[in-house]
Amino acid sequence: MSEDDDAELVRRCVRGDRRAFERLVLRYQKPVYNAALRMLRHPEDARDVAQTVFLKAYEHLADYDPTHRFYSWIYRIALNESINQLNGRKRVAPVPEDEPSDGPGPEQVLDAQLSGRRIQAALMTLKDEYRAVIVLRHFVDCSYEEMAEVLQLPEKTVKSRLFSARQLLRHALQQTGMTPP
Amino acid sequence: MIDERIAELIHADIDGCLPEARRAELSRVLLADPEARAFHGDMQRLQERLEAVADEEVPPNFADSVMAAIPASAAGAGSHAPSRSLRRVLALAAGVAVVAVALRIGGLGGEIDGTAAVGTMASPPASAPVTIDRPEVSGSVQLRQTAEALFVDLDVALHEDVQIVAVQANSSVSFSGRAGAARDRQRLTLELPAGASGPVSVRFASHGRSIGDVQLEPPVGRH
Repeated sequence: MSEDDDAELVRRCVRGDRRAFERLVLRYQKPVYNAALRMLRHPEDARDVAQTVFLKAYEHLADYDPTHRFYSWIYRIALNESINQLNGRKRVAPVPEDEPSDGPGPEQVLDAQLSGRRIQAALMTLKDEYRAVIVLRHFVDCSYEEMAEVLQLPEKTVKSRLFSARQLLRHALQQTGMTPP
Repeated sequence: MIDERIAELIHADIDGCLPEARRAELSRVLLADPEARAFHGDMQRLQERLEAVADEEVPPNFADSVMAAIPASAAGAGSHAPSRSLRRVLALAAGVAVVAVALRIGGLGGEIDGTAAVGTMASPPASAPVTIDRPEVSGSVQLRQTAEALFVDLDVALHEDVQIVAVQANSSVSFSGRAGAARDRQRLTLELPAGASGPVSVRFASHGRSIGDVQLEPPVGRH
């Protein structure tokens, strides 16, 4: 994905080109949806939040600072909206028992699904700020610098938070019985 | 307890950003310190576990639903909520045609306030009303056909800021806002252009999230 393309698409959006915005939606729908999903766990909530992210982005494109990367801006909106949604829920998602998988499949697929659910459950035990850095680093593939831009924090703070988050996640996985192999 | 400087080396290695110049230093530490070696192993396995979690596919038609929900005005124009009195008509279009919106508002049995041209024909054919019952909006929706246009008549109480989008073929009209005081029933009319055919989808959204979708077939009969 090209930052130059993003900037050009944003310029076209502001001039009223809806097709340009649609291209941005198509380009970022998957990472935005997945970031929201990892923050929230529930697909319906993630869909709602992802939709809100794009609507807010559209409404506030004039506020977007083109000296920053567009995706940093949209991921920031996604994290903030996810956290707002969590605050609105006013409940902590319980760590679920292992659930049966939907439908049959190869053993490896089932293992992967089970592993994914346990990781998601462990993620949900972290504070939002820790989950956010794990999501950005491991699910959105942001570098330290990009994470700092998204979170508007110094890179040193981001690194420190990420390192703590990993240790907490490791501990949470041990608690759910998913010890490192 | 792992030394902070060593932990940073290990995390940098896991993240693939350890400078070559410091690789030898990490190797020496891992060779000499079993605790650091165990920690490095744990972090590597955690990284592998996280990498193995596959991305989920975006729900079907997600981009379409976003594009249907955004207003037709230029991006960056801020919030499009109208004044609460709803004296303002919003003409918002998505797709090919830009069409006029006629908005008529009044309490149940109350005064008509809006375009006089709307809804003055005697007993035009109308579809059966469809009920919507959500915390944000409740009431009924139906279509009314006249010689000039197809109207989406809503008799609803809007408890939150709500956006209503009526879509037919390549045309759409939408309304955003809250009608009067909460829980007051209001009549709203959205006008779709004459000539279009096919079912009408009326989508309700509140605070950027979809809250309902009603499918209506245009009424059959003489005007």
